[in-house]
Amino acid sequence: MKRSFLISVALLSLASALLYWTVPGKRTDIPVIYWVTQDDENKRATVAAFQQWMADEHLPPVELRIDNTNQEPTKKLVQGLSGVGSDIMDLYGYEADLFPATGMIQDVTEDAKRLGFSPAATYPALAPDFIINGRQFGFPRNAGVSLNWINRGTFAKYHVPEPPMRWTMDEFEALGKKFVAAANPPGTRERIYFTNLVPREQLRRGLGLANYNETSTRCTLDDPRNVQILERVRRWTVEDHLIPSREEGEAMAADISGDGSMFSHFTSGRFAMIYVGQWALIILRPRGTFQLRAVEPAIDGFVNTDMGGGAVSVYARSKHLEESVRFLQFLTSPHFNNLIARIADGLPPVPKYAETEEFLRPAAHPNEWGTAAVFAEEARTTGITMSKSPFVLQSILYRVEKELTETMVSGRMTAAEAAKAMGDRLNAEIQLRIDHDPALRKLYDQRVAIQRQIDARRAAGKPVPAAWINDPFHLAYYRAHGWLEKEATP
Amino acid sequence: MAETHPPFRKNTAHQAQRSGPWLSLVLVALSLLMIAPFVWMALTSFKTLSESSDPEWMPGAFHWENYPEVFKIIPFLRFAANSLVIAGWVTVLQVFTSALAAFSFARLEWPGRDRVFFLYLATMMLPGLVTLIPTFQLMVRMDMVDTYLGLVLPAAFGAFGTFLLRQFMLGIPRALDEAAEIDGASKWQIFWDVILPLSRPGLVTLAIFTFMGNFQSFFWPLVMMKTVDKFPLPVGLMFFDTERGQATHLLMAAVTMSVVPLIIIFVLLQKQLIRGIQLGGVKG
Amino acid sequence: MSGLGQRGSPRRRLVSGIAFLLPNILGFAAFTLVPLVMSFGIAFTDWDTLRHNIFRHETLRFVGFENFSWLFHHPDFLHYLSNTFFLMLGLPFAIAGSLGAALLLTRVSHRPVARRGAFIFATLFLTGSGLLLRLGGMSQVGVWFIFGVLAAVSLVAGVLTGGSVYRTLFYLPNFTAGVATFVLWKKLYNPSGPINAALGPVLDGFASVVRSAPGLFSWGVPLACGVVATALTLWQLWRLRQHWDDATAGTVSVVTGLLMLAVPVGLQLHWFGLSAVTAVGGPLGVVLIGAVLILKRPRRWGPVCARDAGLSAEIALALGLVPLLTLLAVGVTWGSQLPALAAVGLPAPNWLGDYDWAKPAIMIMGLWAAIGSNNMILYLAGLSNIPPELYEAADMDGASPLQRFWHITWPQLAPVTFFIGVMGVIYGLQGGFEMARVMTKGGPAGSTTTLSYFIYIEGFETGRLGYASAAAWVLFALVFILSLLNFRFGNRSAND
Repeated sequence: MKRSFLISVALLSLASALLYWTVPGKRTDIPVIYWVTQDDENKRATVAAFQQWMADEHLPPVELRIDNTNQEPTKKLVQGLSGVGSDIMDLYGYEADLFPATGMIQDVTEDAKRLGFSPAATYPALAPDFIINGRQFGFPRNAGVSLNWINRGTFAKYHVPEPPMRWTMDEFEALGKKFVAAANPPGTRERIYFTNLVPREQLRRGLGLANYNETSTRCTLDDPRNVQILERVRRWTVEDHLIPSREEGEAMAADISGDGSMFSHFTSGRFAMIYVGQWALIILRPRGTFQLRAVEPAIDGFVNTDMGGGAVSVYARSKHLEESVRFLQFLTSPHFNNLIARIADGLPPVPKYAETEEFLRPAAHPNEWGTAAVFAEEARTTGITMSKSPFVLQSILYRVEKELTETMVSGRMTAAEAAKAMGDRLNAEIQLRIDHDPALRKLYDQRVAIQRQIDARRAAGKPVPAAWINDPFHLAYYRAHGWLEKEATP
Repeated sequence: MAETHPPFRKNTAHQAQRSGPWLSLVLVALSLLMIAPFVWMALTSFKTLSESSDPEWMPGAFHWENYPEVFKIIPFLRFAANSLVIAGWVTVLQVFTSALAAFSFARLEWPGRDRVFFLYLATMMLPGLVTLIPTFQLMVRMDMVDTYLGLVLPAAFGAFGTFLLRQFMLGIPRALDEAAEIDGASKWQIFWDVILPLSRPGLVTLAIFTFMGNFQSFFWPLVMMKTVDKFPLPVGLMFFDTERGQATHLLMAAVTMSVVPLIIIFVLLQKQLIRGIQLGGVKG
Repeated sequence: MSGLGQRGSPRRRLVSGIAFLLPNILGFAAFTLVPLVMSFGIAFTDWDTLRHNIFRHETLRFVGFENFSWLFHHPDFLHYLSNTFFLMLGLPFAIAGSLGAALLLTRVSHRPVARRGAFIFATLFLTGSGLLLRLGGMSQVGVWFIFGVLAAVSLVAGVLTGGSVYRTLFYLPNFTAGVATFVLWKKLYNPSGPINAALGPVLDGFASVVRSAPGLFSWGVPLACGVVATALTLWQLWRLRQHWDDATAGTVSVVTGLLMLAVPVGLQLHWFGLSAVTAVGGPLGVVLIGAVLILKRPRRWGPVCARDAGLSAEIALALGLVPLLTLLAVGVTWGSQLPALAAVGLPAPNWLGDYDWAKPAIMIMGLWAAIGSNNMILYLAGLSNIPPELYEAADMDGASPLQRFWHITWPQLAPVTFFIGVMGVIYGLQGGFEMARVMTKGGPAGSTTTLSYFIYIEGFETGRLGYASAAAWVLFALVFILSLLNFRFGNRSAND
């Protein structure tokens, strides 16, 4: 036994030495920066394009390496907060909110103005995603809205007419019921759904309701309009079976990241439509040639779509700040934008590249023609980014809203109770945070004062200055209804 | 210690009348139940991506090319080697230091012994999550982030091994110790020549547990490592889980392959375990 | 029984004790103790990673017990706590499962009859599978062919290796990285996945049976379950009384036995619609009355026994009785709905997507993993250390297998069971984090959120590490108390 112990120690030492010496050397002459993102051929192409662009701009060479574990926000957070984060990070979902708030993201406002990647370079509606309190913390590497992708083959199979470009919730319900009845004759084991989800935030916005009020100081989800929407969602899920319940949906999404099988259900015809961005093409293209169309989500009232962009940001403690910031500049270059247009990874961040023939009508994919134009048009006209508040972390909003909606759908709560609970919990969260953070409290008090003035003016029917409104939806809504003061032209 | 092998003592002697060919059936049935998910996993590794989400067990055709594909996407051998070496070191350190510590707790009497032992035990009761960030910051200060050492050291000194070996050592009759003591053996000699060989089943058991456990550890290496070449296997498997979806068929192929070295190690170690148990069957 | 090192001054003993301890305790102190103490301190501050990090140098504020009071006021805290405890209900099954597996593995016989039998079965399986293959073609019945071949191969290998191949097969679940196992099971639990596909025909058959006699099932099942449950409860009460009279059970054992009964009774009342408070208060009241009634009885034989005599037997029985009674309570509560469900074809449950089935789904997965787990190995080691003379003596006294198990095997395995019990409680209460993160994200509607997942969310997604640390230390306190109890009562029997 002692012999085998000694042998194993010897073997291990040998193996460790081998492993250690075969790690690619860190010492190189050119600086190396790490980019936490996906490691696939598209990203590798991006790295190659970056090298090309650096050469064309006559900038000193830099090696860009990809660190693939970006699915794990925990890792980015822990490493970032301890001073050893990666130089360039992709920010997803709630990270775009949380990470800059910790201070670990470099404020690039000045660099942006100097090097040309300020918000003016991209879609104006996208700005709230990477601008926080007037300071810029990154730049989008793509843009896009989410729309309903239609599998024309599925509609044709059941002889159900396709939806129009713009439709109301009632039309959605009627068409949905028709489809579901045709596709699910009695005795069907595997139910076929109309679509995978309906965008609740967009439905609310149609009725004029956002997550927060104009100054983002109060959560407004306890409004009766939300009860309406929740009740509809419940009916569509539980009674009409137009969409799978969250439970059914999550069970169907049988992998960690959760998106994979939505697409396979779309291609196999279990979803007639799916609500997702233009990047769906990346997944759909390898799976076959499907006749595709894109239409707006069914919304009553104020037409709006969900605009978002994947932001790239720079780590505040990066050892190569200058080079990392250059990467953000690269995102405005033709090298990068043409690449995005070609691989259909959402819309290129610089709008003019979404107008090229190659983007709108890619030669290799005639089955997609028409969809790109719709996405580009919607991004320009109806896209509004998600409502956020500096007083509530987006992850909390997301989680509370999701859990309470699930509870309501499963019948454990009425829609009214769920809406009230959402409002209560999120407003309690706001109070909690301002209680603990004096700087936030100051901001809150300032904004509450402004909110009072807004309410007074609205009640009197007087216009409101645009600068008073923080929430992007309310800004767009007010603008569309002419409730804003005439803006002085700069 | 004479290395004579006592005659093989079958505990099953008295049960021979009961078992028969039917027992094999029961065992086989249970085994099939246990490995059914693995059969599914292995079969899925031959499917195409869209088939991998289907409920059908069998792939339409056997896509053997999934396996070489795995090697193209990730440096599988490197990851596996990392895992094996890291787990190996953790096991060696854990077994060795725990044996020493367990001896101290089980056999030596010193003031405060039981209190310190309970402290050991108590440290296992705190969820590891909340010590993650303090530990990580400690690593930063020691400059061990993104190093192999940082993966080995924190894992090698847990209280589990000490607890397990102490229980094993408590079961060894003291008559042997006392005999050795009368012969004038020092404590170290008693440990090295008497207790340690008799604790063989415990040591091998701990080795198996530690190795398997560390091989599978995911969260800590995830947070610690940045250089891809140093990733252990579970973290490396994340490469199949992209933001665009999961390459299930390839992931299953990778997992199937990763099971193979573990099975080999287990088969080898369990022979040791059984031999040790038989040799250690001390008269009660 | 003198220990080593009784000779020598306390100082000398201390030195040698610490000397052996040193390598381990140095690493332990550095990598385990220090972060632990830090996290304890953090629990009393308002550390929020958003504000207190190397970029925003705000000062950390000491807030005393505020985090803890927050925690207890959290609307879902009790829900998460009960989730954590609920998942622990699987522990007795897990222990029983691994013990059963170990017992089976040690009974493999080497007699020629057994070997011949195995070979015969193997041939049967091979030919059967081959026939299926010919008839059905690869794709349709391919799976059965594969299983048939596997069965045959296992049988032959079992014979050739003297049973050790079964050991490896049972332990197989442990070979996959934990995360991979979760991914695997998540796919298996897919409502249109393999498990439901296999369950489908079974449920259909059962549904038609139920449909043919709906009345019978709607009152028959609850009635049967209720009768059996009541009978078992009464039997346990009678048994406790008997043991008290016979002075084989002490006060503590009787109270424990009664308390264990209160759990399924309380659950049943709660499911009947009583509020949680009544459901808990009622049985507790009954327990008190029962305790008084029993304990006030005079002992039949005079001499009094130790207060905790018979406790290990009580606990062992409770481990089996409580889950059984709980299952029966399930039958009583929902048995009457069977015909209604059967009318719609008794759909297979949605497992991870269903609020009521998510936790049982996880427990089933846990059971699968537990049968051939580390615990089984420990039991194998423990079983092999039982001196065969004990069994031979029992055989000579004409003991039945059950008596052999109950009076020899089980007590001899007490140290192992104790260890497994302690570790089971420790890891069980802390667990559920990886599983929730990979499989369910704590859903649906928070039904699979355990305290440890809650700690993860609070600590890492919202950054409130002070708060998360407080929750972790509350969890620690729970584990500590339970382990203490386990120690006091289990350790005694282990060292007997």
